Amino acid sequence: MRAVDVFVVGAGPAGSYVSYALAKRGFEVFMAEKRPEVGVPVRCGEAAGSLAELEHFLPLSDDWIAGPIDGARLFGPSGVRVERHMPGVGTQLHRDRFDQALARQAVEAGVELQTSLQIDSVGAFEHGGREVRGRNLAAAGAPFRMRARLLLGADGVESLVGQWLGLRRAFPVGDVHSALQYLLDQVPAGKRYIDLYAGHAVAPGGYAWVFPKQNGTANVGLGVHVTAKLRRSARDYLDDFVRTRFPDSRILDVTAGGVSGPRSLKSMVTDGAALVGESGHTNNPFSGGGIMNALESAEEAGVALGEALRDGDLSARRLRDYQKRWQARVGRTNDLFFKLRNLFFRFDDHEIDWAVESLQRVVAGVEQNNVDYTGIFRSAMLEHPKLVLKAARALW
Amino acid sequence: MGRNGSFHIAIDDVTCVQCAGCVSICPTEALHMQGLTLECHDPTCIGCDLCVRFCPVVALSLHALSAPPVRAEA
Ligand SMILES: Cc1cc2nc3c(=O)[nH]c(=O)nc-3n(C[C@H](O)[C@H](O)[C@H](O)COP(=O)(O)OP(=O)(O)OC[C@H]3O[C@@H](n4cnc5c(N)ncnc54)[C@H](O)[C@@H]3O)c2cc1C
Ligand code: SF4
Ligand code: SF4
Repeated sequence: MRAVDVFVVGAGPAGSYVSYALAKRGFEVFMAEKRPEVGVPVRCGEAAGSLAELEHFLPLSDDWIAGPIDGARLFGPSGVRVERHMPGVGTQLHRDRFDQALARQAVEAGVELQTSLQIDSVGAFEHGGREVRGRNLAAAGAPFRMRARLLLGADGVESLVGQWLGLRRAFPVGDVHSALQYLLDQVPAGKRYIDLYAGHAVAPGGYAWVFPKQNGTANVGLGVHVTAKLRRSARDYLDDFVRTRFPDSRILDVTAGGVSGPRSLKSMVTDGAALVGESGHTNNPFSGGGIMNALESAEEAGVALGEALRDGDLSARRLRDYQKRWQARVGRTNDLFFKLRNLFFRFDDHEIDWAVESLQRVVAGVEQNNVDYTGIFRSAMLEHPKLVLKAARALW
Repeated sequence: MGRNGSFHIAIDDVTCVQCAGCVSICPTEALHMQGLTLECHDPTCIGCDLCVRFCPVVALSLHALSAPPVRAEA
């Protein structure tokens, strides 16, 4: 049986970048992707970091850049809004071509990529490695086996690798938003802002988004928090949203998905294996955004796991260096966002409006170098006494 | 919660957009993607109904099998 240094399951941003990082360090890396074509179909709102942030991971190319994001507006249920002009704060991607460019970068660094290869199980860590088993879907399901010193699960939101390794279970349903998105035409051009809408009538426990793409098209979608009380589907909510706000637009494409906003994993690593990207619970728990986080976790994995491979120590204890680096870079902030998410779930519409108004005061204060936090706290105490209790429950 | 083997998940192939969202929350790995296609391994399903409530486009329905297969006596 063939043996490699590193076997990576999944060629999303996390898989491609960690493969690239380890191949550059001289290791033999094999990456399996079950889709026939990397990045297709797109399951994403396609909003990512600034060009400078992206360039850190990949040379920029008009091929995958749909345009800049120059600011954001957040709307509360009553229509109150906060707006901030931030030129180039983010980038709207063509996610399929972005994922393909990342995979190409990996292949050019020496990674062997096989598409239509679905991994079905992984063996125990013995004799300094693990066996990986799967099927070649392009060849009538022909069986596939390979050994690797290090196995990386970069299999995204549907991750089963983490479950086989005993590192995680399926996401609790409350930790994944049920999301649907339409690509609409005839969306009034205006500024290149991303618009977010919160409120129980629009998207209970979540938010709706409008992310402009090119030529008057936009990704318009929403995610809802699935609870026992939820009576309507994401599709019902999105159809209402589109009917009232974009009555003249046509639906050019439909994307659905689970957007995870999870609690950090107790452990992202075990003997001879680790989870990278969304499968390692790296998404921002408040926004659900995961592209940049996937890349950042892959970069930290590249450094820490590269050193472990070099030293020939693939014990869980040694691989934990990766998790430590991730925690310091993003994970600890994510833990705070997870608490904020739980607070947001408890908000009624008045409290969401209050939060938007408070944010407005913060933004205005930042612009004048003078944020009135005491005033905001006083308004919470006087106008929304329950908020303090809710915050106490969610945050501590 | 029910017993394994007493349920059937019907996937409406026309409505399902193969987004794998339901796979991410199925507690038993009954739901899985075969390449780009969603499949359900009914004998593993415990009838928790989470996937049905989760699906953004309402492509799933849960059916209790009225007469679960009984092992024939030897
Ligand atoms: C509707 C929606 C909108 C979103 N909008 C945004 C947004 O605007 N901005 C943002 O930052 N994030 C957004 N996200 C989240 C973002 O898409 C993910 O966080 C990101 O894709 C995670 O990257 P990844 O590399 O970890 O996983 P993925 O990109 O999911 O890649 C995993 C890969 O593994 C493959 N795979 C899985 N199992 C196997 C197997 N057994 N064998 C072989 N291959 C396998 C999959 O086919 C896939 O290609 C959105 C998500 C959804 C669903
Ligand atoms: S969540 Fe719905 S649309 Fe997505 S794969 Fe499951 S059944 Fe299909
Ligand atoms: S009902 Fe529950 S166990 Fe059965 S397929 Fe759906 S989520 Fe999985």
